[in-house]
Amino acid sequence: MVFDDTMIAFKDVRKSFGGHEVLGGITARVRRGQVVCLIGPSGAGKSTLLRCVNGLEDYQGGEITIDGLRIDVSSPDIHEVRTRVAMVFQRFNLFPHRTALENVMEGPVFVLKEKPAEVRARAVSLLTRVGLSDKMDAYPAALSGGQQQRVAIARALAMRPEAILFDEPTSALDPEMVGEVLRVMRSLAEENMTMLIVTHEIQFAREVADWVLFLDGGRIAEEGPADILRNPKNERTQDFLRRVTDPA
Amino acid sequence: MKLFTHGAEYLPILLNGLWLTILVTVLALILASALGLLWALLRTSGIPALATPTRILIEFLRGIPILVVLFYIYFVMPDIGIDLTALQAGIVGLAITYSCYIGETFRAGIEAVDRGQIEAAKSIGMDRSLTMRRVVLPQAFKIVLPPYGNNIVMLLKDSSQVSVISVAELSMQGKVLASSTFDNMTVFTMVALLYLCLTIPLNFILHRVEKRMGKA
Ligand SMILES: Nc1ncnc2c1ncn2[C@@H]1O[C@H](COP(=O)(O)OP(=O)(O)OP(=O)(O)O)[C@@H](O)[C@H]1O
Ligand SMILES: [Mg+2]
Repeated sequence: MVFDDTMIAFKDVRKSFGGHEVLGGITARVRRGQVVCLIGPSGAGKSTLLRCVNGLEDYQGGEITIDGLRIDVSSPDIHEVRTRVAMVFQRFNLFPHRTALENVMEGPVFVLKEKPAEVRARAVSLLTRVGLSDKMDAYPAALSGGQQQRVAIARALAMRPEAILFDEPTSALDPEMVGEVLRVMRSLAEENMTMLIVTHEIQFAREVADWVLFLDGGRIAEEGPADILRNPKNERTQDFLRRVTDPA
Repeated sequence: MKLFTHGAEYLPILLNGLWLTILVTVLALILASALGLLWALLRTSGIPALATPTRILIEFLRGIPILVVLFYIYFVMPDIGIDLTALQAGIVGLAITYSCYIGETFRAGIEAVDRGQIEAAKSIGMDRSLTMRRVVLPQAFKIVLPPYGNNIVMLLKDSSQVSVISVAELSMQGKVLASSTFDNMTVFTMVALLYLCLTIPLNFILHRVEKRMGKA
């Protein structure tokens, strides 16, 4: 067998809600250790595509594989498959009844059934890494948006995932908190964490992306290395970039 | 008039009734809560074959007065071989009726938990039952506490209904005592006060728990 470093593969993925086609045949891949940024206008299907990867949505045509394993929402081992890819949500979705530390420990202890003492040590070091060593025992309600999102990233990392999916991780943040979250994500990119990121932070995408997918109307309108964000060929891409980089 | 002069004589009899009221309430509450949780889990299971019959059953039971449920269990069930004492029938009847109210309370609480929480639980690989236990139910519990407290107080008061099948709980003891002494004023005032001795502390405790839960 030929050596293949594909981590996430999309093969002609199609999805509709009711009669409304949302993904019209997406073919793409994320290689191991790569950062792929997914950009595009609202309603393009970015979140939907991302959510199909960990089975939060099902899809009707084509195939998504993670490390060769087919993603199928109706299969009984979907829960096991989900432990391989972590997800960071726009609205953080921390468990409000658990402290930062407990949020990070939850998956490894209760899903992966690892020893709590070991998980605790790992969780402490992850929270320290994202700059929250003084907030371990805080409940989410007592944390700022930026802090909550960093806990969410630590929670994702605690699962030791093969890849992390981010759905607009900074869109719900006040501007002054965007930087602290992007900093953490940048450091993950430097460590070659495999990431698929939906973002409107074009500057950030330019810096970290190995590959950029521009999605429009459920199709890939343009793709290429981060350079395409400087010199897009597609008219829709040009339009979109003009709007997000110069909102006025 | 011998107003309130015989209160001390009446008290032991009424306390017997009070004890039975507590017993009926507590046992019916435990049973109703367990059944209510079951109804709520079935109704939110996302499996129509479970959710729909449960919904119909609840609608059906909610349309029948407690009195009729009690009569049915006590007088009709023996015909099909289920023979319960008045006390057992009273507890079961109350529990079945209240399981519907409590079940709806629990269901509303479960459905009020943010969708994003369930997605976060799924995204770290939790299956349905783990998601329920670790994520949804703890949060639903907090949401549900005030209406559930309300259900408990209502159940306590409605426990007086079991007197119709001759369970000698507080209101029944009061009625018997009043009709033999003709001291209606004293007896029923005492009965009312004894109910308040239960409901006021109960409300107080429920409030405290709510406050404590609100912090975490
Ligand atoms: N649960 C759903 N039911 C019906 N239609 C949906 C559902 N979720 C998404 N859609 C539709 O699918 C399309 C793509 O939505 P999606 O959320 O993937 O877009 P997006 O690119 O993430 O947009 P945004 O930048 O606004 O987040 C939209 O037209 C949306 O209305
Ligand atoms: Mg989206």
